Amino acid sequence: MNPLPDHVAPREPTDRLARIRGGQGGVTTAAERRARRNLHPLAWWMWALACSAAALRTTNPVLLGLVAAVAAWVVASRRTTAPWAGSFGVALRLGAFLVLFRVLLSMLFGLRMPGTVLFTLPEANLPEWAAGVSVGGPVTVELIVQSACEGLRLAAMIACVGAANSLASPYRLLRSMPAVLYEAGVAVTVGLAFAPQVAVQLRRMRDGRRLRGRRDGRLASVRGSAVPVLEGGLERAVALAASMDARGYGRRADVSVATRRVTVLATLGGVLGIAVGMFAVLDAGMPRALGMAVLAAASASVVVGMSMAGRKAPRTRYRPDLWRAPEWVVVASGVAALVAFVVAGEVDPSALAVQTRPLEWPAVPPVALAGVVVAALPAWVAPHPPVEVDPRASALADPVRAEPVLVAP
Amino acid sequence: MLAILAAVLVLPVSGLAGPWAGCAEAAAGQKRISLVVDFGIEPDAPGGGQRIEHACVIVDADARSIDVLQAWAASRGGLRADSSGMICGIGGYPATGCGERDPSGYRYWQYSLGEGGAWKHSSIGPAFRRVNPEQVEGWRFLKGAGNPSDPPPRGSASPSCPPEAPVATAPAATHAPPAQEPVRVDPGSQATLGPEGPGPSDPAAAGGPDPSGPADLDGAADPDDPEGDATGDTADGARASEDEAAEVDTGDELAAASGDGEVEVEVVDGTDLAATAAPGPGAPPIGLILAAILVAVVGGAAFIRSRRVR
Repeated sequence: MNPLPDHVAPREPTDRLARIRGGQGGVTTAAERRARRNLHPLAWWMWALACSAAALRTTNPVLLGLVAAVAAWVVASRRTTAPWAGSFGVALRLGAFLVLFRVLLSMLFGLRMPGTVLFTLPEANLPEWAAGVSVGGPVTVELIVQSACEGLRLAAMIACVGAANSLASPYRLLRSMPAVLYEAGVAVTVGLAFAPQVAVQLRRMRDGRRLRGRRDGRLASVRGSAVPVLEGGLERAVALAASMDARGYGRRADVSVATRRVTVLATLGGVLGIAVGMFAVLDAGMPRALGMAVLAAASASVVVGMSMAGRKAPRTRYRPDLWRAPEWVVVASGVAALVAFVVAGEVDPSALAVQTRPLEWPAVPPVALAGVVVAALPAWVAPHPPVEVDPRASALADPVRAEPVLVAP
Repeated sequence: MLAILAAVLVLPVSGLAGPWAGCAEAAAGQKRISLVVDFGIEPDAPGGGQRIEHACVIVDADARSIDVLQAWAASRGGLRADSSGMICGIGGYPATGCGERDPSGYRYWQYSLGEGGAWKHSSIGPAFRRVNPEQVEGWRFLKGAGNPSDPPPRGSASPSCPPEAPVATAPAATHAPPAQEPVRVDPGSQATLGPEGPGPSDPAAAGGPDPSGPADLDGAADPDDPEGDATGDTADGARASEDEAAEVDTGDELAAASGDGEVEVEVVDGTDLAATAAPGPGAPPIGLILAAILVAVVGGAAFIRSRRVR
């Protein structure tokens, strides 16, 4: 998607660190160390989003469990020592919580279909206008299985996104933004750096007040320090803007009026076309092929518009991430899983959804199963991450210090 | 005209003691709910597009509408529903799919409520409704736009089992209070009458009951309605058995026709919900066990590997 010039060699790990940390616990040869690099963050994200899109298509607990397990396997195989690498465990725990929460919620407010009653909750009799809502009532096996599977779907999707989060550096991802989103990316980076600055400023204010012998009453303190903190923030923002200006940020390439108009037209027309196409695809009364054609044309128009808009911000990238064969394979493995799920859904729609009314054992569609197994390929195909501690790794802990690295063009 | 209609309604009642004669008395804390299941006129419809079933289902007083349908369908192949509670299949029809869409519309089970002889689309699902004996639970399989312009069930939109003690004789029915008026609507007689019903020459009609009673029925069975399907009137019943409705013009024939054109109202006991529930699945298939083992192996391997790297 984002082929970058590969005249810049990937950064090699320093020998000393490599020797100390020793990679996967084995011997690291020079060739192996040279092969170590970070996979392009966009590749990880595209793989993860394809996996979660596949998970979205099913409530089959076997498939969902396999998607989450495969994500865990890939993370375990290719994770770094960066601070965000541990986020996968958090994602898994969040997923487990969501499953429980979903089951509890459905016990309280779920659909009261007949089934095998486990126990009965006290039921609230709602007035006529609240029809369509039920509170309490009989809790059936079917209800619990259905809601647990739906919760599991969410958990699997979160596991996929959590995998991308723990495998790809968010700052590298920000740097790989397409040109048209460049300014937004810079704004996000500056914004990320802003919150800790406010905290520092606030502490400084409070220290100053205490040194002057003022009583540190909470409300009075807030009133007293709000203006100086905002003032300080503004001053910093102006200083940052000045320094960015001096380094050539915000420079706009000369674009002819005609090009600009075409850009706006292509983007706006494309967005409108996407809206119309979506409607045509979803509405039963319209031919689906026509809707798909409109959708495709409109998407192409948006892409053209955005790439033309990108010309306004010409810049080079410092040490760009590489996009080589492993990136393609990683993305392809995720897309393969998604395609397998779509195909399995076309072949037998009931195999992807858990059947609870009546209750049945989940089917095991072989095509979808094979797709998930293919999605595990990155565990072998993706290059090992460098074993050194990336200076960007500390960016999360101290965004202020990391800022110059982040916004370097 | 009103009088004729009323007479027509009463006649078969006196002969047959009403279609609800078999509808047992509901015990305290129970309700009798009328149910119409119309399997539609799709090419694959069971009964060649003529399968319209009427039932009187006895359920607990706090039952939901879905329980009525479940009780009826339990012995006929059960219910199939999707995760949202949408009814996909009733009694095994259709065997697969759920609200499937093709260029000409959706194939789905439509849910309507019949009250006072007219069908109305239900805006909420059957799992959210409490049963009401004055309303008929109507289901019809059809292909349509999926909105209230789709035709309602072809069965009777008036309850076929009375909410209180059943009316056993014709005179009682004639002088029944207006609240019980829908009781007298016999789908069978409606079916044999049809839009081209008897002319105003019927002598029995002249001495008929108070015309104010069945006034709403007249509106419902409007013979001027060009497309009976569109409004859900009781004339739809005539289309259901049109072979008999073709030429009925005398009271004698009416009685005779209502004998074999009678809509059978079956009594279903739905008070024991556990008995109507679908049986659970048997032993898990071998493929599922293998797949579960695969999930456990991959997950376990990931766990062990993450520990080792750390």
